[in-house]
Amino acid sequence: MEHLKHIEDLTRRYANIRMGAAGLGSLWASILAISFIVLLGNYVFTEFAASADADTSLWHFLRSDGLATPVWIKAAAISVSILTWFGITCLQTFIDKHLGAAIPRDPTGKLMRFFVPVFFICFLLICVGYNVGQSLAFHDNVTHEYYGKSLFEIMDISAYLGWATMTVWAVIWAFTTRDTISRGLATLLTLMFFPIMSSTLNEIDLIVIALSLIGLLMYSALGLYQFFAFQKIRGEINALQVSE
Amino acid sequence: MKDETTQSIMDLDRMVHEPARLAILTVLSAAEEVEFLFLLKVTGLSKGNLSVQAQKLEAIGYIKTLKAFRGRVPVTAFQITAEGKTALSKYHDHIRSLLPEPK
Repeated sequence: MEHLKHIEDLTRRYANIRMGAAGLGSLWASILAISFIVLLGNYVFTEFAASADADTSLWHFLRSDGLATPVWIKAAAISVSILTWFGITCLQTFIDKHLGAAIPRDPTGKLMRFFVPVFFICFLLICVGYNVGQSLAFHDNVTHEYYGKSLFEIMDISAYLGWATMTVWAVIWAFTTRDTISRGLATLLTLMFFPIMSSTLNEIDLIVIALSLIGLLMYSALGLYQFFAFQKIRGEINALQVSE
Repeated sequence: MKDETTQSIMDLDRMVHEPARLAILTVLSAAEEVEFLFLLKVTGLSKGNLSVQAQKLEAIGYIKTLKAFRGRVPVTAFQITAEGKTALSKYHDHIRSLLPEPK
């Protein structure tokens, strides 16, 4: 009876700990996201040092003029999400090949499967709607440089393409996985990099990144906890086989 | 009284009572879905025995077998059914009723 209780408890713990490649997924996502932030920070500070007055603060520099977002930054932001997914998939496959998978009983999992895609599609529509609204406002302003240009010319196509790619990717990721931690990471990384897709880098981007970074650090802490718990469970499974 | 107890023991669900099947059902009851490999490692059964016992449990409707692919490798997973959960729960109650009260 004790043995049965033990294997039942072991299965329950393994099913929960196994998610997100036993914590390694969160750590991998954090490494990639922090590398990207370092890259972005380097670009912003270099541009700031080159163009701003000595009196202007970085905050004011970004707030007043904004900084053009180069396409390579947008591409790197999208790559972080894709590389995170790829890394988690590879690590999870490696773990499952050695120990096998156990899916936890998670009543919210099925709900999240639909909630996450709906959330992203709504979020995308709001961002696009807001951006188009802003463009139209500029378009109506006769003193503005956009005056006389068509809406298509005003719109930053790469921003819309970036948003669409990130949304489609997040929806696919959220819908195909049964792993709550992976879904959480997909959501966080998408929200983190969504503002970067717009044509200029503003102070709001820094706020969003800073807030997302807090979330990412929490995932990293959870990842470390999961990884050590996974090692313990692996030891217990090995001990079971030795005793049998 | 003795006859009643004997009868009660005889009434145990034999499909669940067998140790290998009891271990399989117990593991499956702890998760939504469990792959063959994990079940093999945790129960300590041989591949052949696990397959046979799983087939028996599936035949009676206590578990469901799910076939999928991981890349090109076929993967078998199992899920406990509502009937399986009920049978396991009834078995636990039954066993508890047969055991003497702890002193």
